[in-house]
This record gives sequence, structure tokens and C-alpha cells, in this order.
Amino acid sequence: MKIIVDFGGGLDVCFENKKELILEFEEQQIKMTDVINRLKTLCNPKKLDFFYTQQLRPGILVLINDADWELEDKEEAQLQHNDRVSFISTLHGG
Amino acid sequence: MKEYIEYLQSVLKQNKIEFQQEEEFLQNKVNQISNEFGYDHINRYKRQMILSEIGLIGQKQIHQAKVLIVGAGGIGAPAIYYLAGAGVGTIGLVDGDSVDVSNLHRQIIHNNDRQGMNKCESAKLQIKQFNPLVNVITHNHNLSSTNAIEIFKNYDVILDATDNPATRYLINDTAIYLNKPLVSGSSVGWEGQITVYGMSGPCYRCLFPQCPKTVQNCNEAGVFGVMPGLIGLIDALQAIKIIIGQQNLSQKMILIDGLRDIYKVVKLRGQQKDCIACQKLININEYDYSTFAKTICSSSVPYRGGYKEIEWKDFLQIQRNDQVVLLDVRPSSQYNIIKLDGFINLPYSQIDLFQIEQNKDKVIYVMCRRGNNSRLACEFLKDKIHNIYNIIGGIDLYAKLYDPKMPLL
Repeated sequence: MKIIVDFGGGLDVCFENKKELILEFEEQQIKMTDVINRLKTLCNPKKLDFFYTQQLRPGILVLINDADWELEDKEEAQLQHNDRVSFISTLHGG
Repeated sequence: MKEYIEYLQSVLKQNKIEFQQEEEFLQNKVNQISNEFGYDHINRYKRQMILSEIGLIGQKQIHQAKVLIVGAGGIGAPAIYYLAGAGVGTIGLVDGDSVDVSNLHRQIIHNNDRQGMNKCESAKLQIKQFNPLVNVITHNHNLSSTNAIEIFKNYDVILDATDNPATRYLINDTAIYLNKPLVSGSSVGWEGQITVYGMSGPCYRCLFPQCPKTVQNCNEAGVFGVMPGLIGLIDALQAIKIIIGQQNLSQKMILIDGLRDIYKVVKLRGQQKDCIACQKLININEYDYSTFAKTICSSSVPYRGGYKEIEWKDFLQIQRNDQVVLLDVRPSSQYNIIKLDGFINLPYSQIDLFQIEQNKDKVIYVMCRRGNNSRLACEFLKDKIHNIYNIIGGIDLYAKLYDPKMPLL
């Protein structure tokens, strides 16, 4: 199955400046935690903006199909083929 | 038939009474309004007053509203302009900063002649010319945990148009503590985000209970002026809708990517039960916001040894020859605007591409903007290259010491 991942608020710097990634999974049942584990293998280890001490850095909003993952089961949320997962860093500029 | 006529007469009588009551009510309203809201106001605002959602009552609500804008910068500037245009009776401004020429590509309420002037005062001058019916109150200093409650309590709606996490948490906590709706917008690069905190939805701490310890782009950040402009306009829209009781962005967030033309509204979590701001567990006066919001970018990188450091005055004495490599590790976007003679560019983000074999016997001098990334670059190279120097203070210090007119990026 295919999951679309996109990055906002400058997080693309951790993924070779790509603002969108398509992740392919062999399994038919995957959870958010699988997506995050996959991203750990793709993230530039020099950048601390995405993973900070192995955890998702504070200040990142995670959305599943444009809705806050807190409205679902966060890491445990089940994903469907073609779902869109967004990681948005909070911005501070004004 | 007679009964029917009597019935009609009674209906007419009732209608007349109701009509008289309505007329009295309206006359009353008109009298009230003409005291402080007269023809001048109606003439100025009539194009929006004829909207059914605003009308006379809504415009009076806007007139009586007091809106506080924290930050008269890229987001604040257009927000102040449009709120004043829409007829917000009292606009409060908080900003301790003064106008710099590099602000003007986005902070359109200021102008060339007012460089060096406090931003609140500059904005006030502009608004006085633009709409004299608006009362502007200036707080020409930065917001702090000791003055925030005193200032906020006099206003109905708060706008966060600031640029750093510590102030954002302070504004959030104070607005939530005082039950004031908070319109919060931010913008970096080509992106923008805006939402409404408080009301019955979540607050900033509900979304981000822990402050991010790294803020990307903090050194390299730039901003395209239109982006904070867009966010400021949506800020003004939200503030007006809160005042007239329309639905707003509470528990929703608008995300804008101006470069890719993506404009979307996303759904946020509700108010969190364990949020210390919503539970009013924070003693704002005593809370240490600067420690809470300390980020890696804002603190400097310490010297941890393993390479040498050199000051500008000594560096300028060195003999340059083909055994010396001068490395500028700033982002290319900065290097391409201003560079120093002899330096080649390799951004710190690509430091692993440095040609070790070719350079391992040479003397390498590393420079960046302020001397932090150059230390990180030296740390990365120190085990591979024997003779490596960090130039203390970066190009900003060079400019200060030797070329004061050089623009600091």
C-alpha cells in the first residue's frame, strides 16, 4: 500500500529538501508508528529538526488526512492505502 | 362579520403597538449612537455595514471593541491597517522594537522616513492619517511576564504577531488566563500558519506542551514579505468575526505554502484536560519563559576543543597561499549576497562533502555568520584534518570591527 507523506514548516530540510514523499509498504495493515519508523531510516541524521533523541521533536503537528492525529490514536492509528500524513513544524516568525 | 372586523381591529391595534415599540427602540438606538457613532462613522463604514452579518449593531460592536496587537512587524502591520480600516474603536500596540530599513519589504505600515522610530509610534502616525476615528494606544516596550496581565486585561481580543517562542507562550498563557480569544499567526520563508486559541477550543500549550528545542532556519531564516502579509489579513478577519460573533478558526488551522500554492484548513485536537494553561495552573508573574523556551539556535555553540580558534585581527595577518583554505560555511543564499575575498563556500549542511584527501595537509580556516556553525564544522572536520581554525565571531563580527556599513544578513 501507498502512503503520502508531506512536510511543512521547514521539515523538508531533514529529507533532502523534499516536501512530499511517497512511501510504499508491503503490508496491507500499517499504523502511524510504521510510518515514523520508516522516516527514521530516511531522515538526515545530522538534522535535529525532525527526530530529537530518537523521538519526534516537540513542536511538530502531525496530521492524518488533514486532521490532528490526537483526534485518532496517534502512533496506533491505522492507515489506509493513499492516506496522507503531514508533519508540520510550528513557525515562530512574525 | 362583526366579530371578524373586531378581530382585524385588534390585530391592527397590536401591530400599531409593536410598531411604536420598534420605532421607539430604533429611535433610542439612533440617539445612543449619534453620541459617539455618527454620520462620519456610517459614511466611512457603510460599504461593510450593508452586509447582513454586520449591519448597524455589528459595526457598533466593532466600534466598541478593543483589540491588542502584540508585535507591529510583518504580520502586525497589515492586521493593524485592516482593523483600523474596519473601524475597531480602540487598537492597542505592543512592540519595543524600532523601524529598520530591512523591515520595510513586509512591514508596510512603517515607511522610509520613520527608520529608527519605535514601531508602535510609527504605526500610530500611519493610522491617524488613515482613519482618525480610531483610538491607538501604544505600549512602546517588549511584553514581559510582569506586564502582560496588566496590559491584556484592558482588551477584548488579542493578536499574537510576534516572532519568538518565549513570547508566544507568554501571550498564550496570559490570554487563556484572562479568558480572552487569541488570534495567533506566524510566517517563515514561503509559509504561514494561523489559528484562534481559547474560546472553547485548544490553546497553544494544548497543541505544543513542550517547547521545541531546535528551531529550524533560525540562522538561515528568511521571509517573503507577502506571506506574513496574508497571515496578518486573516488575523484581522478572525478578530472582526470574533467581535461580531461569527464562527472562526477555533480548533482549526490554516496552513499556507505560498511557493506551492497550497492553502488548506486542518482540524485540530480539542482543549486538553491536562493543559496547565487551560487549567490556569501557571503563575505567569513568576514563570521563567526564557528558560522554558530556550532553543539550540538561540544559545551559542560552546568551544569543546579538538581544533584551534583565531580572532579576526590575527586572521587578517596570516599569509595566504595555496596551502591555506578559507572556508565559509554559511548557506549559499547568504554567501551569494555578501562574501569576503578568498573564501570559498561550503554550507555547513553539506560539510560531509568536504574533500578530505585533497585538503588534509592544508591549513583550513572556517568562518560562518556568527561563529556557531563554523565551530560545528570544525568539530566535524577535526579528526580528519590536522590544522584547522575556527574564526571567532563570524562575518557579523568582521563587519562590526572592519566594515560597519556591510549589511548583516
